[in-house]
Parts: sequence; structure tokens; C-alpha cells
Amino acid sequence: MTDAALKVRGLRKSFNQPAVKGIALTIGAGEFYGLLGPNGAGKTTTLRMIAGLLRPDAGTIEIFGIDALADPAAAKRLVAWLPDEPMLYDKLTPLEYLEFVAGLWGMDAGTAERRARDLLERLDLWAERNERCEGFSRGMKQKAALAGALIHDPQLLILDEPLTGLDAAIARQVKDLLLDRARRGCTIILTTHILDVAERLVDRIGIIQAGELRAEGTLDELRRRSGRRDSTLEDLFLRLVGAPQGAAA
Amino acid sequence: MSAAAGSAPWLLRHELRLQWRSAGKKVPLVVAFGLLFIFLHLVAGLLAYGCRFMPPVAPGALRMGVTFGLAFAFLMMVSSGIVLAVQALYARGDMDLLLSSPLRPRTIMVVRGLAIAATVGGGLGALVLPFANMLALFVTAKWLLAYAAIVCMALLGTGTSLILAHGLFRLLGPRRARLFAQVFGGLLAATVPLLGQIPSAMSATAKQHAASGLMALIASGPGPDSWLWLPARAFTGEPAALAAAALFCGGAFVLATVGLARALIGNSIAAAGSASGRAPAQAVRASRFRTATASVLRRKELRLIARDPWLIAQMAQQMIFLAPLGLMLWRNGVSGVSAAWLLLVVVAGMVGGNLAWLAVSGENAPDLLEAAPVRRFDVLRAKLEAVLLMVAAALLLPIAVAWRADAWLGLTLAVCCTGSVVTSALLQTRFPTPGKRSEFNKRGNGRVGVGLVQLVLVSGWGLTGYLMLQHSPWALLPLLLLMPLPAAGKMFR
Repeated sequence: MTDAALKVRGLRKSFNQPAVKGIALTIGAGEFYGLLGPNGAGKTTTLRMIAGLLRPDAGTIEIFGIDALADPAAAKRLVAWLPDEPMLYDKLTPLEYLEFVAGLWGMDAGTAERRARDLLERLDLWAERNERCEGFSRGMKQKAALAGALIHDPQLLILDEPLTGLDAAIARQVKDLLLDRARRGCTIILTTHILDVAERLVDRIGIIQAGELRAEGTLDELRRRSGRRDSTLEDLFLRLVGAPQGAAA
Repeated sequence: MSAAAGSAPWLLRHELRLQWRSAGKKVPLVVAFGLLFIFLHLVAGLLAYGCRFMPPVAPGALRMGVTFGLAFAFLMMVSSGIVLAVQALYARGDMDLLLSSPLRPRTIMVVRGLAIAATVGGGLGALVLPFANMLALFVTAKWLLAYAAIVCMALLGTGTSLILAHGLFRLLGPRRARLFAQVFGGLLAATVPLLGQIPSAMSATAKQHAASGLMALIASGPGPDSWLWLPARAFTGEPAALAAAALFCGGAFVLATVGLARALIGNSIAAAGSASGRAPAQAVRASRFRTATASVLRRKELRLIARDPWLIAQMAQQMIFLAPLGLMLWRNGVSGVSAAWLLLVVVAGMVGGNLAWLAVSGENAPDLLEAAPVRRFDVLRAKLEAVLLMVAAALLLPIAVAWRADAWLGLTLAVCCTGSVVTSALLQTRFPTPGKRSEFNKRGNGRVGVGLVQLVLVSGWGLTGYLMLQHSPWALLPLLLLMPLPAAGKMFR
């Protein structure tokens, strides 16, 4: 076994043009990592490759020591992926959805049922457990999808813009749940455009632009390297990715 | 010259562009349409030229014939118009944008109505106008007034469709209105061809009775000046009748689009609200968790289909269109049993293909399945098993009835239906085209080849069934010939 939850080396992916250009990342077990970058920087493509949804053109991905390209099923057993658009079935109820996800990850029925109840209660969806998701608001759908991502107790949780479009109360519930998971040893990788959230939640930050990792470290490390100890993450981010004139302080 | 931005013609161009872009691949469509148009002109030319040497049709018979034809055309227009109206008002989701613009609500409704009229009128015009052109060339130029008559009918059909769409919304609410419009439109569209097939199912004596009854009806019917014949007179080139018809049809269109504008827009806003807000909770009885992977995959597919009445209605609509063929085949026997039984083979293949498209291409959460530690093959197998289960459940009863009537018929149907479903479903999994389930109606866009191959495969199984019923040793021949066909699907997709 290894201490690194995720080791990525020389990751490349092109569609019509290069989207990810040789990214290397190492994320420790139990770490809360924020991958930030402007739109089209290659964040989602990188995360989709790590989650096993896209095959890279080149590079290696190791998840808890498992070669994810050689043995994707074993790697996927440890991972959960939550995109910004909830992966839900409108005609299923939250309970049915969780039963389905638990089946995909091969959980035993008793454990799955117990965890489904815990998660739905924690996310205030228990009262709606037997209602079809088609009538849910975006926030409720996102919470149901998050419950689906957590039901098999993943060791690596990959979240792409999980807070987009959520109101303050639901966003707080999601953040609390994520912090709780991180405290219990779950490794989390998150992308977000809400830099305040990243500043308060994550242990370490990677800033990606044009398919390349431009900077990486804790907020303090990034501040030290920039030479401005009082900078906010927003200032650092805008300076690194090239802000529109007047935007960077 | 382009219309000024924000004007009614500008908005109409936008609406027509949207309809054009949702019509699939343009080049094959234009080529097919062009070829059909030329072909219809050739057929119409031959008929019109022949008319010059035939005795003139009795005016009464002509009036009745044209009136029936127009009634048929009107029903067909309403059948597609009501679906378009419900989509345009309650399903497109752009009404908020348009109403928040400085455009007048009435202008929006009139333009939307005109776009629907252009679509339904265009379809009918493409079929009818080649005949009007040739009749004008070889018989009398008055037939060119058919152009104006088509416009009138399109306006009337659209006005009627909008009023019906409004009524459906009031009666059933936005969600069910769409479903019922689809079913109602389908029933209406299928009824007319079904009626047209009644003579083929009648005995010779019944046909004679019907013909004499029709002649009596013409003789005893209203006089030539009756308002009942106004549409026929307008269509055959009487200017005064055409003016009256134009006034009536235009009035109906204005009544629907201008008079009902406020109500229609109110419905549309309510529909948008119900789409974005919380729908009435649909509770489902909870059961204990069962988490075997193949089982959850199968159950998921079964639940998604069973809980989507709109999809079921779409598939039922396709089956309705087979009803005239069933009626035609009913009197044709093969080895003492009705050939109509073989339609089950076609139905099985079509339903199997449709369900397989929904399960494979219409997957709502492909990323979830891709991210799960399950082999793609296992996912696909479970989905196909679900499809087979659904079709088997639907066909069990009719095949049991057939078996009871004749064991060989039952066996033939069981073999050919299974083959038809399996090959159709495999074809869909071999050439998937990811799409939303809500776009079920457009699943054929851009994959004409796959659709054609499926049709030929299903027909091949039907032919095998026919030969089996005749105890022919050649029964397997169509299948052997069809084996390489699935590869062709890729060439034409």
C-alpha cells in the first residue's frame, strides 16, 4: 500500500486540440485538494480521466497504488465521481437511486440500506425518500446525487463544481458533509469557481491553465511564492491565470 | 433583404429555422424531398394527361370526393398540428425569453401559429400541389387556386390545433396535455388510413351495398350551393367560395392566435413554472434493498419505462400506424390462419428496437455507469435482458392465444418474435446514438441506415414467419440473406 491516494504522471488528452498537456499530480491519502482554473483549462477532462470516464492519450494514473488504466474496475471500486450536473434518474426515488448505485458498487443490501438512511437523513431528504426525483429542485437533486456518491464509502471522492447553483443552506449542508468525510480520512478532489469555498475547505490547491498545472501548494505556500503574504486566493489565482486588466489587486 | 430585428417576419424566420434544424440531416432530407416531389409530378402528370381523354366526373361525385379528401387532409393536419402546438406552447421552454423581450405577446403567438401552419401546410402541400400543378397544366388553370386552399386549410388546422391544445391544458394540466396530444394526434392520424382500409376487409357483397349507399348519399345529399361543399368548391377553383373559405379559415386562425393569446401565454407560463418548480410528488412504495448488480440494472430499466407514460404513448402510436396493414392482411390467409398474426413479428421488432434505444442510447446517467466498477458488457447484457423481458411480457398473451388456436402458429410466432426482438435490439446496441429520452421521436435523425436495416431485418423475420406457416423448407433463407445486413447499418448511419 502507498501513502498517496492519487498519483498522476504525464497525463495527456487531446480532442481537436490538446486539452491536457502532461499533468503530474500527487495527492496524499486523506487530503482535501482543490483543482482551480479558468473555464476550458482542462480541469474536468483531468478529473474525468482520473474517474475512469475518459482514456488518456498518454500518462499513468495510480489510485491507492492501483494502476487505474490497467485495472479500471479495481480502481473504480475506491472512487466516486460527482459532476456539476447530477447523474440522476428522474423517474426513480432517492431510495431507489441509492439502491441502484449500491448495486453497481456491489454492496450488500443491509449495509446499503443503513447507509442510505443515514445519508438521506443527514441531507434532509428522508421525508422525500419515496418521491420521484423529477419533482426535485436542483439543490435536492444535487444532494441525492451526493448521497449516491457517498453510499459506497469511497476512499477517493472526485467532485466537479459540486456547489454550482445551490442555495446557501444546501451549499452549507454539502460543505459540512464533505469536511466530515475528509476528517474521517476520505481523500477529496474538488474543482470550483467559488474561490472563497476553496480557500476555506481545501488543504492544498492546484491551479491549472491551458491544460498545464501552473502552481501547486497550500495557500500559505502560494502566498510565499508570490511574495504577497496578505493576498487572498482570488488575487493569487487571477495573477497566475492572467486576469483581465484591473481585476487583479 | 433581411427582416428588421425584432419584427414579426424576423421572428417567423427564427421559428422556421428552429424547425428546420430539428429535422435531422439536411442534405439527405432535401434530396429525398426533391426526388419525391419530382416523382409525384410525374405520377400527377400521367393522371392529369389521362383526365383529358376521360368523360368528366359528375359534379356531385367530384364534390363529395374532394370533400372527403379535404376532411382527411384536415384531420391529418390537426393530428400533427396539435402535437406541434403543445410542443411550441408547453415544451420548448423559450417562452420566458420571448415574453421578457419587447415583442408583443400577440405577435409571438401569431408568429408561432404561422410557423406551425407552415409546417403542417408544407407537408400537405408537398403531396397535393404536384397534382394541382399538373391538373392546371393539362386540364384548367383554376387548379392553381389549390395553393390558396392549402394555405387556408393550414390556417384552419393550426387554429383548431391551438384551441384543442388550450382545452387539453385546461382539462389535464401541462404534463398530461403533452401526453394526450401525442396520443390524440396519433389516433387521429391512424384513424383515417384505417378507415381507408375498411373496403379491403369487406366482402364483395358488403362492398356493393356500400357503393350503392354512397351513390344514394350523393343523390340525396345537400344541393350544390350548400355550405357543406364550400371547401370542395374553393379547392376546385371557385373564386367566391375560396374567398369565403379564406375568410373563415383566417378568422379561425386569428381567433386562436390573437383572441386566445392571453390564455395561451398564461398556460405557457404556468407550464414553464411547473417544469422548473416542484412537480406534484409522485410517491412510490418502498421495498427492501436488493443490490445484485444485474438485478438493479434490469429493475432500473423496467422502472424507467413503466413510469414514463409519454414514452409508452410514443411507442403505442407507432403500433397504431400498423393497424391499417393489419386490417389489410386480416382476410389473407396462410395455411388456414390469418396473415395479420405476422404483424406481431414486426411489432416485436419495432418495440424491441425502441426499448433497446432507450436502454442503451437514452441512458440518463452514462457517466454513473462508466464510473462504476462494472464491465460494459455486463451493463449491456442486463439492459438487453430488461428489453427482452418487457417485450416478452407484452407478447405472452397474444402468442398464447395463437398457440391455443394453432400450435404451429404459436411456435412460429414465438421463434420469429424472439428473433425479431433480439436482432433489432442488438442492432441498436451495435450502433448506439446517445440522445435524451425526451428526444425519442428524433432518435432516427442522422441514422437513416440503421433505421432502414432494422426495418429490413424485422420484415425478414416476418417473411420467415410466413414461410414457416407454409411449412416451407426455405424459411431460413431470408435470415441467411439478411445476416450481413447489420454491417450495412454503419455505412448508411
